[in-house]
Amino acid sequence: MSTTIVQVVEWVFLAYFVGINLAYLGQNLVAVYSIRRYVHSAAVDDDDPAYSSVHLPISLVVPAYNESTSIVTSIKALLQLEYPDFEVVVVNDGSKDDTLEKMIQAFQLYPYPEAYRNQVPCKPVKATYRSARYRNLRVVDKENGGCKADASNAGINICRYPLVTVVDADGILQRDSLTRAVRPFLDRPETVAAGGAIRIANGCRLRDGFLEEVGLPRNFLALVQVIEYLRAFLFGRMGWEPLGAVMIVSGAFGVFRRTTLIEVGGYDPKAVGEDMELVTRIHRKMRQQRRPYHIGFIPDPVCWTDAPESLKDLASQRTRWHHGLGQALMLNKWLILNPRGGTVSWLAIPFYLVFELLGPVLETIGAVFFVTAALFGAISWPEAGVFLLMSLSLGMLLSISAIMLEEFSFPMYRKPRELAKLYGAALLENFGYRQLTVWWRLKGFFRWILRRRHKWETITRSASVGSG
Amino acid sequence: MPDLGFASASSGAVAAAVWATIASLAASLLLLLYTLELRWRRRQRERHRTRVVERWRAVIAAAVTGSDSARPPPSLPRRERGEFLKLWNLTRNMIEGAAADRLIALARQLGLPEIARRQAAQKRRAKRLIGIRTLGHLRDSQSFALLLAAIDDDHPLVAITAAEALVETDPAHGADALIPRIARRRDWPRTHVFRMLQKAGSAIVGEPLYRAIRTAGDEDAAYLLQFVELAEFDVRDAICAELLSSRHEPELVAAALKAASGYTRMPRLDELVAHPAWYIRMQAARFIGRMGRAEDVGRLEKLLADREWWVRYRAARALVRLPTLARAEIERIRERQVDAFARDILGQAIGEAGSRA
Repeated sequence: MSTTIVQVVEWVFLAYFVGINLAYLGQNLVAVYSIRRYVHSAAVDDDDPAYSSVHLPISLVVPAYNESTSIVTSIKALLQLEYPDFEVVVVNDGSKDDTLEKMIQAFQLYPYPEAYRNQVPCKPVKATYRSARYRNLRVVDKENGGCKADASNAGINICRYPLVTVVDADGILQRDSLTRAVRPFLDRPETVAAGGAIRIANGCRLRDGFLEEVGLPRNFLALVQVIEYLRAFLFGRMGWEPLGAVMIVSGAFGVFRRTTLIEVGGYDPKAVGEDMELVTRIHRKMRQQRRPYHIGFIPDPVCWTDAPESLKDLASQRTRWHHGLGQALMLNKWLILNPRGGTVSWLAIPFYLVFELLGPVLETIGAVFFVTAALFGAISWPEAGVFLLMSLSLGMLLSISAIMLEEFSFPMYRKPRELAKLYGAALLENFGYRQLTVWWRLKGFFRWILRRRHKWETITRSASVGSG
Repeated sequence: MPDLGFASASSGAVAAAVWATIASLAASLLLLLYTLELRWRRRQRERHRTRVVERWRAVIAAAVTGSDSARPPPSLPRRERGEFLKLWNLTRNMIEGAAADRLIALARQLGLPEIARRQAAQKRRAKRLIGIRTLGHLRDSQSFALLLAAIDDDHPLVAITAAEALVETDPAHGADALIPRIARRRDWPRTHVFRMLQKAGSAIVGEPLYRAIRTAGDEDAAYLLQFVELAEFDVRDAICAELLSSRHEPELVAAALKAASGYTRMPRLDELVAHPAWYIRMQAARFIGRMGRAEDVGRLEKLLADREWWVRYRAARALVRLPTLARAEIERIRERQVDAFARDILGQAIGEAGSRA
């Protein structure tokens, strides 16, 4: 009897691991195809005046909460972006430090009577400011809404241009990021949102809020996150893009059509992962209304962000992400296997449910089962070891394929030493790091089940990002 | 087959796991090698590019400046054509006049028209585009028919590049070919179309644009009106007045109001200020602002209390910008508003105008 149970469980976990990795490899193949096409056309388009001369005005919304140390540098960098027509709207979400005072001083802000329109819900606005130095800078001072979503909504209400980008106050944008991110909107007029690849800034050298030299972090946790981001953005997103099923436009940098944001009600202040929830909601509403739409993604590195370097910060981030994933899927459960949902309902949502949301639960059960079975002699230790080795080798294959995609698309880490370091991280992440992330995601899963609420989160900045 | 003597429960599952492990390790190794090869190839390509650019930059610079014109240029090897074409086009984009003529002469000596014609007929988009662009930069009249065929290509970038090349080669005939296609090709970036027409010149584009708008349906005419500001202002206002008198489709009416210069009074203005479509009222407010006449203050004041924010905003901006109204007068208008929205929006417009000052 116990042998039969062991056999069944072994086959189930084998099928799960092979299934999840085949799904990822499938994404990988689609990503190779779409990146190849993108790189090929980008090489032509970069030289082509048809793109360099086209622009759609963009409003950059920068939600800020207690960003006193970096806000002035960040805004100055944003104001220097290479784009012909954009405005910057900073939303001070009732910061307790001197974020607002620093901005008033640095940009010569003065209050002026903006006729504010409340089109998406947010906490009341206390005052609006204009800059006497920069015509395209405005600051909204509002009551604390407790989350980035609420602050982003205040920015959406006040901005004027047809495209809106919500960027993190501590994010480092490439100078040409807006020109690149606007491309999906020019290529396909039905595009309602577009994201770009986010890279890790730790280890890079910055100057005046811009990236001066790309480098890899010395901190092991940050180094492993470089690989994770390559996986997430190069084949995670690019694999879904041609299928019309991009489910996440990163909160660090994403461009949206303003009318769409208003139609769907803006960001949900109750959502823990407000970026994923918003995109899932856009999919749901568009499909419910049977409207043609497209959510684009470009593999160009458009934004560099600071990765947590301490276990505490990383644990908090991953727990929050997983909690947000569960919430986003359940808030939009109409999409689950809905006949009108297309590839989103039949491919992306089942994938996110089974492999992403339930992944840590199944992986934990599997690990506990194999250890227990080996302890009680139901299977031999080498047999348990084979399954462990299989899970590690498949994980490593995915990381190595992400490094290949990086080399294939927009290689940033050009020194041989950096490539070796990335391969080292791809190998070492399997011993300890992966197991820790499963644990954190499991905690996030239970937080979602228990419906706990998250608030504004701050992480300790690495030295590189704070400098300059 | 690996030795599975240790497999106690299910040798089938264990064997599959072993094979999956071996396969993934082998695939990892292959991918690693492929990544290294990609890196090596990229480096080779970059070195080649640097060598070619260094070699030809000097030749191109000599041609542009006109120095060393007696000496014939070196021959252009096949493997250097791609990089040379990019460099040549890049330089050609930046220069006009005699320097451009000398650059074209260099290209002819190197047999570039034939090479570009061959590339323009190729299937690969990248090569095709560079071929078409080169033909335009060469002002190669022999290629006019080839470019005319490419203007109807399904791919927007190919088609618009061909259109630009046509205008560059022969502005009058190019504009004649281009303008009737603009309304059909909504996939062409508007700013690019605008720039092409601008390059052709207002004297050339006015008449074909006027003809195209008059004969177009409402939707197409509204689209074409975006480009009408390139025509001389009397042509522009004549088109707008004609459309406002004869057509009633709201999008077209709004587009005509938007395009009107403000030098000429437009028909039906009182009716349009009270139009049910808010965007027509907004364009009417903007148009009145452009006219800048003191007798329109009453019309704008009414629009300050409009139910749509954009109408109020445009009316307020128009009022604040009226050259005949002093700041104190605008403040008085604000004070006499009974509608709180009207007072707020005028306050904002005054604030904005203050910041400009």
